Amino acid sequence: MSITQINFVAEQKALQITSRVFIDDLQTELNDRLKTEIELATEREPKNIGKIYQDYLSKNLAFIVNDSLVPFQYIGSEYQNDQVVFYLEVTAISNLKKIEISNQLLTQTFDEQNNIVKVNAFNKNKSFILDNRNSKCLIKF
Amino acid sequence: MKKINFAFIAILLFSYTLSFAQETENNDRQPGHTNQNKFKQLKEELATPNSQHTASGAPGVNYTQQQVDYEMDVVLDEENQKLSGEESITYHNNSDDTLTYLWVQLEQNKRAKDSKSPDIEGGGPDLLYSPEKFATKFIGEPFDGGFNIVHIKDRKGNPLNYTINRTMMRVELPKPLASGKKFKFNIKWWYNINNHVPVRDRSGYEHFPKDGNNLYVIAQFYPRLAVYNNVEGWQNLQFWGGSEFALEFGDFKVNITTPKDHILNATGVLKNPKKVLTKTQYERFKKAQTSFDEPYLIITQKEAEEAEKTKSKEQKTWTFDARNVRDFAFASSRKFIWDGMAVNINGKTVMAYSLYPKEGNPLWEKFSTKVVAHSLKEYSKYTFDYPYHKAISVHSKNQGMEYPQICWNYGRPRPDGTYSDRTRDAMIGVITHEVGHNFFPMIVNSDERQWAWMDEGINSFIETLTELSFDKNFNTGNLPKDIIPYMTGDQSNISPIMTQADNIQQLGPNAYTKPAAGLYMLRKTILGEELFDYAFRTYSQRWMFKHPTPEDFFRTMEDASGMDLDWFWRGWFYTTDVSDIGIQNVDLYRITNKPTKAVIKIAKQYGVAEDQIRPSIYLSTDSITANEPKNAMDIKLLSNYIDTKYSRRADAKIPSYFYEITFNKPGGLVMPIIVEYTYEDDSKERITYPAKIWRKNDQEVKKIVTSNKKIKTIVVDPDLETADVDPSNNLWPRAEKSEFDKKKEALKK
Ligand SMILES: [Zn+2]
Repeated sequence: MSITQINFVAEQKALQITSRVFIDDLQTELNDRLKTEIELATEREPKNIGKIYQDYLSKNLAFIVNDSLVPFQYIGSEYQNDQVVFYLEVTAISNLKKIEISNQLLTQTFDEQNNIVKVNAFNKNKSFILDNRNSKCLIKF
Repeated sequence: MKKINFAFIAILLFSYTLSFAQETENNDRQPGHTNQNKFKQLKEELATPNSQHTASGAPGVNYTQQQVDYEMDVVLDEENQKLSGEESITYHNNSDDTLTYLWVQLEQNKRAKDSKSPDIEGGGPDLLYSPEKFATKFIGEPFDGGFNIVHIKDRKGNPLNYTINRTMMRVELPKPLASGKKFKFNIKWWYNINNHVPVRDRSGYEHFPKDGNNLYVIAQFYPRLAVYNNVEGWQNLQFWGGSEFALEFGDFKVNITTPKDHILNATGVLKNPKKVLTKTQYERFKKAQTSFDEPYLIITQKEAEEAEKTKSKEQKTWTFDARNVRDFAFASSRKFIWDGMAVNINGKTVMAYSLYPKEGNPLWEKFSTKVVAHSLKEYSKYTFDYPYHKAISVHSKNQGMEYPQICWNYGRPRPDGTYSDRTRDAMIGVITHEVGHNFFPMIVNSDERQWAWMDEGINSFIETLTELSFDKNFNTGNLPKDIIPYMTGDQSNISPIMTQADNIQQLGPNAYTKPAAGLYMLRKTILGEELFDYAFRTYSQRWMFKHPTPEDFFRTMEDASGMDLDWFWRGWFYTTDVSDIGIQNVDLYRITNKPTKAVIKIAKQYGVAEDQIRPSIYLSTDSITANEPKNAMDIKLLSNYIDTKYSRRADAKIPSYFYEITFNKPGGLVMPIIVEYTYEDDSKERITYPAKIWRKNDQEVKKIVTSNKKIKTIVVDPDLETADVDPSNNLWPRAEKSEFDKKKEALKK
């Protein structure tokens, strides 16, 4: 399971995004895709892990705002117990009307993977459960 | 005109709310409503108590429970991966009813070629498939792992009629079995043992290609009687693979024949240790029973590695005798290292054992048996003294699964023998959990097929306490804060805890974490440890070796603690509501003798002018006017009163600050309001307002807080005890920067 929370902060014209996944799951997925045997959150973690995460996220998470694909900035990550939390941001959003989210985190390795996406904007909350079959959701305001 | 009398002023003082009531009053008839109060008693949800399951939550005088005894001869044929057996079953009808048939569970049929289990899973095509998954789904399952019933006979050898309904089999009784009578019959069976690793099954073998050996963890391997109880009659819900088991207690005598060089352990007392163990092994087996400080090796790694190298064609038979257990399981392999340690449970010696292949080391030799011992001690503290003579932890890839006195646990180091902290903690967690299942449901024997939370949730809760006593910083994942992401999810994917196990969405958070977090909250925040522990122990002891229902748990917890918890069960167990309490507003009042605007307004409605209102003391937020007293003792009315009632003015402690705090509750759940006030000098004070504060208004409540120091900050639920889903409204004054912005700053550095 992963949980991605997307908050629209109007004053900053920004989508502030946090994504949480289990370290073990991510490790399995990365090794599966990259054909590596890296370890996460141990003393054996590769030095360039930030780059690896960034690459992985850019291939598996996408935000389409008002019909155009917008790149996100990778702010960083941190480990919280058995989870890794990613902090991402999409800035310079004017006149937010709709967001489409494509989320394929962990779906290569885990058939039963559930990716929960929660969106908060204009004081409205909406949440979706995405999986192997449905990896996209759309919210209109 | 007369001064208005004091009683009337009293009304005026209280009429702040009254005035609102008057203003909103209108003549439109409002529709009525039923009792939706969150504190409404649970009588409509709970089954009516009777003399079997009583109103106090205890078993009643007419409570009955069946007993089923088994005598079995089982053969593990490693060469052909086949398990076969013959069992003689004695069924004791202790109920008041006459039975005309018996229901027997055939769980292995879940793996039969014609199993319906895959048919209940819906959905379109996946995005991608692994070859195994594709083959299973579209080419057809090549493996037939269902039961083959050779015969079913009565004690005279006459065949009995039976009907197999997938994982359930109805055996016809030759004549009705009256209350108090017993019936003896015999079943002969065999099945192909499956590799449990790729499909994550509970029972089967793991193959080690390097040395060509297998590690067997064998369970639900024999036809087992279904439960016949006071609330379900026959519990014959099909086994779909998800919801677990419901079983009767009984005595087992089991002979298991294995290759001669296997090491085996099982539920029950090993009756022929001298025969199946070498002289050295037997001596060490005895020695371990006096080793209270450290695990003692009965079979060393070197010996196990030696045993892996050859395969004996000869056989031997292990004999076990188990009293008053609900099930029987065993583990067998050439690869086993075996250690044991004696545990003192209130003066009684219980053995903690571990069986693991060299692939489990060095992790297993270091932790497994010690964690078993620690779990037995801790669980005994919260429930009852562990009544069995042993508990075994068996190393098994990918799975944690429990049976009486024996369980399978994951946790495998890297091939080079090193391991991460996460692997170690996951292993400690799973062993604690599976050993804990000895208490729930192996002894406090709830119906797992019906209610997953009664064993998984309650067990996860004690597991959490046990892990925290092993290491107070252990990441249990079962605390109230840990369930927030689940509870804030899409409502269409959340089920109330009180849902039959097969129909639960997201079994993990729903049947494990949420009930565990709820009980943690109940103990720590709502009841307090003393009241909770007494009530919880009462429940455990009342239902030891019996079949409790949710009602028995809910009722006992209230009956023994003296607290009405219906609101908590209703909210946490019967709904998917969330907890969210916030600080909506904080007003600072001053003490004055100047009538407030509100009072003046009401007085006016009654035709009373401001100067005619009897002198009084007011708490006011109106803007300050000239001539108002600077401090409380400047108010003559008050200082005169104090001078007549107190010998010294200093004895009257008049607060300097009067705050009115409005708490709101966007969440549907009622919870206590835990508030921490931090004053200007950084001193702190914590007050908990009981959940009942919400009984008359489910949306908002106000509190007056007085002090001699200015309040700097107010935090609701500072220790994250109530699973409050939105922390942004828990702080006054509101945080200027969001958590995200703070993180962003920190990460950019
Ligand atoms: Zn469990």
